[in-house]
Amino acid sequence: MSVCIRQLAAHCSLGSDLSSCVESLSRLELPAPVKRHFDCSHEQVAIPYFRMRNKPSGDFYQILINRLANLLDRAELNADDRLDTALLIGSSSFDVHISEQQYQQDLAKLGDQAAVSMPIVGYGKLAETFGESLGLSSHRYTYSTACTSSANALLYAKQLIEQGQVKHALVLGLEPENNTSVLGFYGLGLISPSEQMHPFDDDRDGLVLGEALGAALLSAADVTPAPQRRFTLAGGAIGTDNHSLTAAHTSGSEIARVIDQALQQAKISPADIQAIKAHGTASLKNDEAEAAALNRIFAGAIPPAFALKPYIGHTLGACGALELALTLGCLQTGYLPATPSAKGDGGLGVKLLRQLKPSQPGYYLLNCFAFGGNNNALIIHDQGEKGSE
Amino acid sequence: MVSPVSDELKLRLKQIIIEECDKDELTPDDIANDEPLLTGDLDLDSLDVLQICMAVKKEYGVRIEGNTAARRALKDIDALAQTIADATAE
Amino acid sequence: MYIENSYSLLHKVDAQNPVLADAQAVIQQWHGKRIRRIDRYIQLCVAGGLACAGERKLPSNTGVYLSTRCGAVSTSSQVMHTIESENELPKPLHFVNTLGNSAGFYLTQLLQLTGTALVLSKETLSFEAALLHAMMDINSGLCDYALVGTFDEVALPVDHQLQRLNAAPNAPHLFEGTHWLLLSKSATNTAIGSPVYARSPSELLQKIKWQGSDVQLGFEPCEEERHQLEGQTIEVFQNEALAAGTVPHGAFGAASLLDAAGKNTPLLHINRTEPNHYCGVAINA
Repeated sequence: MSVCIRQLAAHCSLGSDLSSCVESLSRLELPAPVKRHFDCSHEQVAIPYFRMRNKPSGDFYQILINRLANLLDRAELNADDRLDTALLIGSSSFDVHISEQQYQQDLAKLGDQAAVSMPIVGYGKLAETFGESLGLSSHRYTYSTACTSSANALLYAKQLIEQGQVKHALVLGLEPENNTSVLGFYGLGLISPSEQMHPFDDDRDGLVLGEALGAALLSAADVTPAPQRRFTLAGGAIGTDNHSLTAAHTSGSEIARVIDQALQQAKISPADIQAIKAHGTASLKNDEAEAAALNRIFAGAIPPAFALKPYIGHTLGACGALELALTLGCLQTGYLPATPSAKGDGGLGVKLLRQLKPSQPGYYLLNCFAFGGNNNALIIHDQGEKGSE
Repeated sequence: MVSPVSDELKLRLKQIIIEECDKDELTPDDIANDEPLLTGDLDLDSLDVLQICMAVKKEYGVRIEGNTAARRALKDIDALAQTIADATAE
Repeated sequence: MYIENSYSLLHKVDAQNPVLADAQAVIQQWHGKRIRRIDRYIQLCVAGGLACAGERKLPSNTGVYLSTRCGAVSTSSQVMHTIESENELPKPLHFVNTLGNSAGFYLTQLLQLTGTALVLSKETLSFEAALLHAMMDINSGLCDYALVGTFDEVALPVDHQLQRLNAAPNAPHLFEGTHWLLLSKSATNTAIGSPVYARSPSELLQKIKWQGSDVQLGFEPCEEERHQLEGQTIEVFQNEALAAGTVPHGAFGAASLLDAAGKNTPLLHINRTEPNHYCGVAINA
């Protein structure tokens, strides 16, 4: 049974909805990150950060519920359909920013001894609250595998539908702005001193984090209206690379293995891949590992590749769903995104597209890798505009 | 000019390494001043390096930034102590 | 599906005089040496996983399905305290230990597993959620074995932990633990059914088509829930401890399920999450 990706949503540094994000990408304009200043005891630090464009104010939880409700409405799912809809949330930070705010208030009010650090616990709370509010099925799952969280959620959305547990699955990738992620990554020395991400280039010097939301509604093909059947999640795989806790195996062998499994699962060969959405974090070793894997799989004939993080930053647990939404949004408009600043001089053998390129129907590989060696590769099939009619 | 380095500083650095890298099985006496920190028996990795650099910054206000500087400073206890002595003497 | 092996460490922590479970001792038993740099949350994961795998050499594609309700609370709260109260950068090691895959990294490295690995959460039904994911992957032919585990720790001080859990401030005890099973398709003594959800206990009995007469609950039922289970012999797991006000940990339902699985009789394990979502798993049915 094929599983269609029928509705998408995105909100990141490029725009507050998918069409504005896609339009920004088509203009090839790199948003400038803001500077986040922290007055630490031993130093003042200023860390670049891609904040959401037109970030809404108001209750964080209600805003998300409204976004998801809108997605369900667009798909015209009725109450019965919703009871047959799973909710899968992938995030690395969840609502830790609310926890931080509450702790700051308690510190001011109660003092250091009495204030409870990390007052809000329970990764699954968001899914239960949202699922209840939206009238969804009991299949409500939360994935916490760092940067692959929402990519893994997409893969299990497909599993749940294929195995008949539900007809529909709503996937949310979420990374709200918070101090823990920003200062944690800074402390690891992973933030780009140049404040720009240059994936696969010689002068790559790290990443810039970003806040984002990406969402997708998946449904079994037999309950998806024909105009919404253009994209299917054709396959995917998860692999574990336990070579090192903090960096991928630079031989690329582990990443190549997961891409190979994803291709097998989709029953296609490397030659069928039209283009690659690279993970491309612009960190030294991870780009080396991804490039080595792509060279292994595609034997030196790497299909056109693009990376979205120079535009949106690394949105951690949200990046799987967000970058899927942006990629499919670009395909709907008929082009592959590009990075004009990419030099392709890194000796890694991966040259990112520098100009927009018309897209073709076919298969697309979406890479996503996480800290701690959790790797995910997804294969999307685009039937093209005609296929959805 | 090379700044003088005290034995107390070297002892404290050994304690920092044991603590920050969770090398509970060691005592400062087990670490020779010229024992390689990154390639020898201690087998410290990049995460250990980050831990030590952050602790040194906090305790001595000395920043050791970037891979090359860290590898040079963390060659052995002698080199680390000298790096701190030189930086704090400036 | 069948249970090849299981391991459950349920530890009761005295709120007045807290002594935490010694997970390093379990690790030492199976691995032979202490692992440096891992916090108690990761220790609970590694200890349970190693003990459940036992002497077996698992195929490298064995799936690993980790679950937790609250995650690495001790280290996460330490990181937040460092940032918000001390105005310092978090220690790299502390931050890394809070990341989702860190616990699984150590376990899969020790067991030399390179296949699917997940970290899942679903409030008090986190273990059941992990079990369902493992079963889906075995069903689809992705792997022949799955290591399914859940773990939740007590973070000190106890009064802070009780506030995080919205528990009574005078609770006498808190549970923590690590609970695991090794799942496969090859028949063993203990058969285990797929987790099924329902909005009430009676609906659950219908959906599972439960023919047995024994039910084990991972929670204290109210009158209405008992009424809906009329005709069944009901056993509440750790009934006395719960009645005495012991605060269950996020993985408590898994401790109940594994206890039920050890009884070698047909039993329906039922667990609950707020607001009134039930999950049932038939054992030996």
